[in-house]
Amino acid sequence: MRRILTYIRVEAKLAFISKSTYRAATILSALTNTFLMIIYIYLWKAICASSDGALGGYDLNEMILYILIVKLLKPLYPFGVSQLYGGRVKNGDIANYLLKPVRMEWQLLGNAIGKGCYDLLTNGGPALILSLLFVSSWPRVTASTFFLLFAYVISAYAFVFVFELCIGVISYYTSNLWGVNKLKRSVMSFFAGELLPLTLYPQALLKILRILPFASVYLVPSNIFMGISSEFTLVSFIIVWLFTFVLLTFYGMFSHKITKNIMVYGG
Amino acid sequence: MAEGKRPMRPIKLRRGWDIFKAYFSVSFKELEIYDKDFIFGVVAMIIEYIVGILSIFFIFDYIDLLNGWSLSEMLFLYGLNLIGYSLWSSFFINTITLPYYIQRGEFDRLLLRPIAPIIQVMLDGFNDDSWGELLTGLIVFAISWITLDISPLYLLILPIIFLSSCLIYAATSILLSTVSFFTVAKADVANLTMEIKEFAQYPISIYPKVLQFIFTFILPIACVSFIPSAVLFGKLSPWYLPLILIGSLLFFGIAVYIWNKGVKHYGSTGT
Repeated sequence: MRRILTYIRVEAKLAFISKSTYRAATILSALTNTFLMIIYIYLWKAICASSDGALGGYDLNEMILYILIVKLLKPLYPFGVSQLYGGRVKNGDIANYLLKPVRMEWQLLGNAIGKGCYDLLTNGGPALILSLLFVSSWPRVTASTFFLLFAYVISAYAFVFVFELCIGVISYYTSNLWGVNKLKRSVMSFFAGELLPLTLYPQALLKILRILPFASVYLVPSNIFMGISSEFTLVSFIIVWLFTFVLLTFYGMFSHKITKNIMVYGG
Repeated sequence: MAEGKRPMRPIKLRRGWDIFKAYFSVSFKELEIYDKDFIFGVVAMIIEYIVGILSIFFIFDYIDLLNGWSLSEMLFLYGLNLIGYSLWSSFFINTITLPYYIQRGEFDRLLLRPIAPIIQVMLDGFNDDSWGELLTGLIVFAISWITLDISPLYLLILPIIFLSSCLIYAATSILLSTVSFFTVAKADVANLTMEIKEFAQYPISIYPKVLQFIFTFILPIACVSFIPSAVLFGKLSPWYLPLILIGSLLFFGIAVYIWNKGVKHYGSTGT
């Protein structure tokens, strides 16, 4: 276990350094993200101004907080894992990783953590500055809120990582992941509430979302931070871990079977 | 015409067409190799746009008008924006991958060929399933056109509007990708073209004056769908339409000029 943790740490560090090598790109990314966040804030300000009351239970201040939290969490989650996995299958590099004494999944996790930390910095700074400018009142964040938030974000992270592995393993079958990734992004952004808070969705759809783990990705952490009690909160913790274990089992079985039959041509 | 001399333009056009066909054929063959992924891509595209339209419906469950724009007008904006975007996506999307060419040293290879690098980058990858996006956009656009009872006379100028929208997206992507000549790595700025698509589907008048200025004169996404729609709804003078065409051609010309300047600045990564 200690060996794996060291490996993850080294991979994370490598990914972080690799991403931060290009300083000009880092600065431009931060500026671009700031610009995008500002536009989103004004878009929602206009939508809130056009409505008579709160939108899906959120007032303008909470809506801005929701947008900033989503913009902060999105780059933190390991959404690029499937693309990296699929790329290795496509160009044959997967053979090198399968030969290594440490499982490729740990390498992918380390890489995702490193990239996530870097992206958190480039998004976190702008989000913090904008929150000081646009958020009129702050929720009361206690130690227990922080602990709960941490637990939920870790759970969602585990779910997204395993979900990404399952998508990545499909590349053995499709050889290319462009279309699959597009499908994943569409499903995730809609069901997780990346575009709109899930509470704006019709009741019939919310009933389905209650038994799916996607609400834990953005909605539940945002609600915990803002101190909004949600019907999703308690159940979602169980559901997200249940789905994580089911997907992990599927991934384990499928990847084990497929790597037994993999044929790598020289190059 | 002196003997031995041939008219230049037909040769250039024919050569351009042959190059386009060759690249398109390679792209299509790649599609055939990854046929299963293509099916996933088409399904994803359908879901993506259903989700986009649903989001507008969900928002309009809570509001009647967004800054004076009704649901039908919003759908019209959405459709028009999607048509311009999908035309760009079909032919120009590969320009946003310029950072990868630079980082991997592949751009050096393009410079050695007797075709302009910008053309090669554009033709190196087509977004084959964008035709589905175009179809979705056309359906939404047509339904909202009928709902809003817009004069059929305006149908005559639609190709100009579509061309302008596509050129604005193309110029934006070329301009933003040029940044990679200076930063080498992929800055998120290259993906901004895909992000701004989300904002171009809303009335630009909802944003503050500074953003309205940026979206009209710096990154003119207001000309993609907002201004043409406002003209068709009678909210703006029809004289804005020729201005949009001139503006989009000018913007495209500036983007290509800056790209060429970027190529001169380019130093190989030595990869």
